[in-house]
Amino acid sequence: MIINFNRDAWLAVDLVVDILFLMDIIFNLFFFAYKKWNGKIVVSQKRIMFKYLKSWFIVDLIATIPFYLFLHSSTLTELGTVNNLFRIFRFSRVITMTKLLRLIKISADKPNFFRKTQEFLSVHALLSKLLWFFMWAFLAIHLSACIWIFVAGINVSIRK
Amino acid sequence: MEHLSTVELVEKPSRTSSSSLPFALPEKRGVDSFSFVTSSRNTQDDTSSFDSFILRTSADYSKPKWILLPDDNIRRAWELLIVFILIYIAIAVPIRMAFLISESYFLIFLILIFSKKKKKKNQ
Repeated sequence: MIINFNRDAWLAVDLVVDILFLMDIIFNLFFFAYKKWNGKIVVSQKRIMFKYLKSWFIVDLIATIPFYLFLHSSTLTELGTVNNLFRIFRFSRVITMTKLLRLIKISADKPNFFRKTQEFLSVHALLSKLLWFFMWAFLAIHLSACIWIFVAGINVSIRK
Repeated sequence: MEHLSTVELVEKPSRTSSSSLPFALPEKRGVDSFSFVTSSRNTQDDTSSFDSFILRTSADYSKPKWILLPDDNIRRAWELLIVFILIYIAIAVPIRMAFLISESYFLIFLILIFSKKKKKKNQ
């Protein structure tokens, strides 16, 4: 199902996701008050901006930059007419992995994850810890499996 | 008329009490009294500018309308949406990196795998 998916449809999905991420950056910059270490809430516009620019802005920005648009012309070329020069661009599909940089934000504040899961799912604290473990275990296994298949695909394409 | 215009300036409480319950205070108090903490009273915050008003109640009087507090429903919905998108991203992006090198190459890859397995069985 995934393999036969049209590439223009993927492009549309990517654009929607990037627009939502961009909106998230804008909201975090201007609208979202944050909680200080002592539990107080800062509503000052300036402070919210500085806090976000200092903390997570660069990570979010790198994750939001649409690198696939730069690769678009090279990835859309037909397989029969691919030059040796364009084969290099196939390796640069790795650059779409910058989207995963947003996961660092989740891994950075573990207590926030516990609070949110206990709040939304209303589960026990131990269960949310278990969820944390299984989430990262699943992600690590998934990522390593995908990297294996990626490397194997490159190997096959070179052998051909 | 006196109690209508009272604005209590509360001194900064201890760390444990403020960090545990930031929003529990306004229900216990009267309707007209709402409490702010100015940073000028804090000894640890060195900022004394006007824009460093820190709100302690969920009844928001000094904050602008467009600023959303952490327990705001719209903000929670937005963060939930972002979480769902993140789950999608975390699953779909590596799959696409792996399989969409090209469609035919993946088929070749599958054929190679199965052919090699058959050879091993024959040997």
